[in-house]
Amino acid sequence: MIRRFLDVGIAVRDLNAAAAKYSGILGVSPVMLGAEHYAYPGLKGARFYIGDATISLVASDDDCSPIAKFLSSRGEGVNHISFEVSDIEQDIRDASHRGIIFVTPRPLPFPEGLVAFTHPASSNGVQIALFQPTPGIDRLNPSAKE
Amino acid sequence: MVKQFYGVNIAVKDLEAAVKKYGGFLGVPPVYTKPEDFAFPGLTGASFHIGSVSINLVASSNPDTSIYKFVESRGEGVFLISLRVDNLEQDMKDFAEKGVRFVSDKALTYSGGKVNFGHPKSLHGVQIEFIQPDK
Repeated sequence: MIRRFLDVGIAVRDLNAAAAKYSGILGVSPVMLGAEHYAYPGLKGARFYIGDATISLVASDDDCSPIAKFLSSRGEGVNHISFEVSDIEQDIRDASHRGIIFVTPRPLPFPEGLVAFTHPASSNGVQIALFQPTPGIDRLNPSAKE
Repeated sequence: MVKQFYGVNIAVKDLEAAVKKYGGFLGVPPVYTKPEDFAFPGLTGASFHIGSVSINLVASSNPDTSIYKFVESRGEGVFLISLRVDNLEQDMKDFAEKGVRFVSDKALTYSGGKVNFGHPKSLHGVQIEFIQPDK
């Protein structure tokens, strides 16, 4: 089941320019994220912790990445929203019964946990990421990370 | 200044169908939005409260609304993200100096407080609602 709202992921072309602008508005400095924070290769990002949620900027060095494709077809903007779930395999099954289609049938592993993305056409135009953290990782508390 | 991540507004075509899908998926009941809770007329909506964050579905059958135009031109999807601020007029000045353009020159009012919207072209493609609730 859904445990909490985590993040809005915004696809941007120029990560440093976008990070400077969002840092000025949000009033906090970003945590810069390297490729190891992503389930797909070729991505990098900046994450802002705003109380009980984060806003993440994501950019791509790889023309084949989902973010690069999103940018070329839609331009910059919200790429996905993400929720932390308690049992991602079961939650994928439950969501599938409600007509939600996932980009991959199984969750993708990466160091922070497991993630699965919905196909936006099946969730009212919104790409939803389900995320189940690796035990010990608190996605909303950066100091507890690593 | 920005105090809280407040919510995400998703523009949808068929509010009831979307409420059913998101209600089941999120596992919480919807709270339907009253017309006076919007800063603009012609909108209907429902909210799901997930902790301190609201997932808001918004629909419109009125061709003059920005929601209707958004769905017509882009299809359903994330229409805006909402951030709670503590001093909207001052924040508008500060953010304008950082290159944010606002949809309205002055703060707009709704039943529960004040609000203005940062234009997506000035925010890397994201419309941001800056909202200052009365309570």
